Amino acid sequence: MLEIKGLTKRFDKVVAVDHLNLQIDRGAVMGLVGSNGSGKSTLLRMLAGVFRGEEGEIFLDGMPLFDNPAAKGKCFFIPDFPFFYNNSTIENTAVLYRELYPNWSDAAYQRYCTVFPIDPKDRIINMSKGMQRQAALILALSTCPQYLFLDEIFDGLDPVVRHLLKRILIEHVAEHHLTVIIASHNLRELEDLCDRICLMHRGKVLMERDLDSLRMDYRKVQVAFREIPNVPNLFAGIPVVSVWRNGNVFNVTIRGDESSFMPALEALQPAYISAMPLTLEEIFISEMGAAGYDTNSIL
Amino acid sequence: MTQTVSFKDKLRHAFTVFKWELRNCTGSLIVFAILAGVATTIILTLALTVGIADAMNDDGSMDFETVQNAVRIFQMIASYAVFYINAVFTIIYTIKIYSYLHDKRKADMYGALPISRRTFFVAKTISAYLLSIVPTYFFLGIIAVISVAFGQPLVTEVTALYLNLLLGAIACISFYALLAVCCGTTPNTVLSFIAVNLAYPIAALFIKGTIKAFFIGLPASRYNESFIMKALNPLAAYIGGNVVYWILFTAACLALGIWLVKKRKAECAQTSFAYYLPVYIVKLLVAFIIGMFLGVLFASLNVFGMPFLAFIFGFSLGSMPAYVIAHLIFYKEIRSIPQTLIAFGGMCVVVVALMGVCHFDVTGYSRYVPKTEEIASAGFIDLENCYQAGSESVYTLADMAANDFEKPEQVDKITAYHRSVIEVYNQKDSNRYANIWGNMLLSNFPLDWSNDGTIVSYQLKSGRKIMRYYDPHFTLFSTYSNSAAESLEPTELLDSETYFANYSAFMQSPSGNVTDMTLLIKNKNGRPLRIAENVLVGDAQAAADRETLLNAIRADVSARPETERAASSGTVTIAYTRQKPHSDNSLFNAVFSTIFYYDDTTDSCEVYPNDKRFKEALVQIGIFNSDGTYNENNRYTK
Repeated sequence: MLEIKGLTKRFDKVVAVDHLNLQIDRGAVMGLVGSNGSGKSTLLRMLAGVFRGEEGEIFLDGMPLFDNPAAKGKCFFIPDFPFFYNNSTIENTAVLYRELYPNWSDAAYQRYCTVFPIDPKDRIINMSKGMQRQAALILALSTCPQYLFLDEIFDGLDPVVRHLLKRILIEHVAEHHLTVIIASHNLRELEDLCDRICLMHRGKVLMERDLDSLRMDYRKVQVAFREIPNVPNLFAGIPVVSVWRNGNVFNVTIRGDESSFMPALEALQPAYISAMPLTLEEIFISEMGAAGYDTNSIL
Repeated sequence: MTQTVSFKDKLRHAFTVFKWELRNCTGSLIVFAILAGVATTIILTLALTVGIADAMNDDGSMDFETVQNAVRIFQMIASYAVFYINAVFTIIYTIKIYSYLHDKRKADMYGALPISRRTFFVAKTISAYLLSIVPTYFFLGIIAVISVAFGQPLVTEVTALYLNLLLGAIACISFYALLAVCCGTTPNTVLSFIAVNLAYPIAALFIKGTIKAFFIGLPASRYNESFIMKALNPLAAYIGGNVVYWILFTAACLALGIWLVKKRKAECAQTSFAYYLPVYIVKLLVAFIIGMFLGVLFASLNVFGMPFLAFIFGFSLGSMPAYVIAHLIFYKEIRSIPQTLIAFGGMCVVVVALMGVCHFDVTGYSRYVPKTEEIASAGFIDLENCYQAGSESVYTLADMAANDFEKPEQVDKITAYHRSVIEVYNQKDSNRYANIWGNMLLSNFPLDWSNDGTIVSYQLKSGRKIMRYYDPHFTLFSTYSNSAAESLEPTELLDSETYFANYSAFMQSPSGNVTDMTLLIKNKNGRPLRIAENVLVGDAQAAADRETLLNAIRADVSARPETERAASSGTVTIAYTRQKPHSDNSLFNAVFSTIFYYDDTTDSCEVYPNDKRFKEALVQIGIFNSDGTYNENNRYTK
């Protein structure tokens, strides 16, 4: 289990992570989402031991994580731009990881070298962005990590490899209780993979929920009226997150399930009404809007 | 609960990191090996070609000694070439190895590895040491093997290189490592390293020049080779000397680096948390140097007619802008300057206060001559007539001389001379700031001509020693030396047996440095008879005989009462090689000393009829027969 207690990280006067508390169970796949500069990558770097927080601590299976080789040996971090030397190949970089990671598996290495369409003897620096990420993934998965921290891992991967990666991760989660934390802006991909979502904004956690329950908690409702009822607050008493109006048609995002708000909406005698679950992207935009980060406040 | 990693695992991790660095530096190592190999081959080819051409005699035979000399020159030039190529590559390896602290992408990779920061830092540092030292030792070893194969053993300058290389590499790498931990970016680290290495010796020279200019007579050359002059300039470790200091310096840098590396908040911060440490050093050093430059310039030009005021004005005018500019270079902004002004202000106050002490001679150092009744013994040395000049520091000589003369009339002569020197200074030396330039720029000049001047020293009855050195090159003393007052020099002390025994080449030169000896002894008719000459060192028998004679004469001189002067019965003249004046191992000195031998210097000693040991030695080596008659067939008479 990964426990983050009161973690704070500052860069001069900028507070990148602000007294953050989080608990992630073994076998969870958590998506870290948030606005730009919300502290997702900084949090991942602190989890990986690259940065040291000013306050707070991270515990991994009860052990302090910072500068603890025994704990770090269970983790692997793939940053948004993995580093490789000019003469690095997967094969020669594996020599370093093989010696340093206690759970390194040659069998896994051989397997992933065949699974991913990439030659381990090629210079990584000459590869495309997506192939470099695949190279990093081969090395990461060969260390048989118990905790995998991925920063914008889907960037540059083609749809087939994205699918392959998701399959491999799910397989590892199911078989080995791998814990994965993925920071990404690609919410569509996270939606397929994650079972939990942590929404960050300005270094703080806005919301941390199970994805299924989160999706069930929101409804996108389209309501059309022949004549708009002449009442001061049309949706009073309904937990509305956001409203967008186009003539007599209202697109309303509502927190809660249908049984809780449909009677109130039907009481308005709309000509047409339909409700459906929100996508993760829509939830993100709604929640960020609620936190004052929406297109209206930016533009 | 924290799981610990065993020492064995740490070692294994460190070795893995070393192998990783070795692989990443393979390209640079290959280039180094090619350059070193080619340079060595070129130098060997040229040296042998020239050497063998010179060694061929007309009769077709070869003078092997000439070839050996050529190999000796090859040995030194090739060793220095490898040494300097190494210096360049050490810079490349070191910057590359510590860039993991600054490069964001490298930090992501290395920071996440399951190895503690300290183990990783130590492994990186040891890798840097080994990559710098081992390949160079390998090539120096090859050069040594080639030399020995030609019958030329390693010369002192080259053997010293092994130690100098080791010390220079570990000191520079450790200092850079410490700066790398403190600084947030590689350019800042490199800039700090260069700035500290350049600024510190200049600042030390300013301080030394000022002390020498104001504390007239201070035997400051004692500090020429001192670590004080090089303390924050680890590049000087490559020159040699101060072995203990450089080992301690390396250990301190390493310990501080290891301590700080774990406390480092971020591996890739723009300005690291300990950045202020090196930046403070650089800013204060630069402000001090520029301030001293302008201050001393204005004071020596006597601006305002008040040198001290001119110094304060110049120092302020120079140091403040220098401090601000240095701050802007390192921080790229000016907002944080006010917080750092306390240190700058403190430095200004200290400098002005100390310069005030110098200017007003608050300590009275330059005027002080002890009273005769306070003096237990005194000494006087004319360095031009002192064998040890150049090889021993003036401080050591002054310390030795303090017990030379005890008689009141001898002591009086020394104090009278001392007072007359001070009087000349007081009369003519109105603006001592002007002397700072000469003192700071020339006092370290490694040439033999700087080894003159006079030393006056006293052993007081209170137990204190007073030592003064008056240097003719950098002060008004040269004016004094050429003036009529020079006649006050206590020449009879220079002619005394005590002075001869303590400071003549004849008595002090190590027997191994004596290259020739000529004996001119009067025969029974009183006519001088050249009975032996060219007793060369190269001949083992001759060397042993020369030593026997020298020891016998020295024993006779030491046993000879000061007052006893019978008619001289002859003269023994020696030719000797001077000891190398300076201990630094620059290529210039090494090659210079190889090409030129200082064996044309001679010294003589009168011998007297009562010199019993000398006569016995003559019999022993076969110049005289056992009945005391001259042996016409001795091996040295030509």
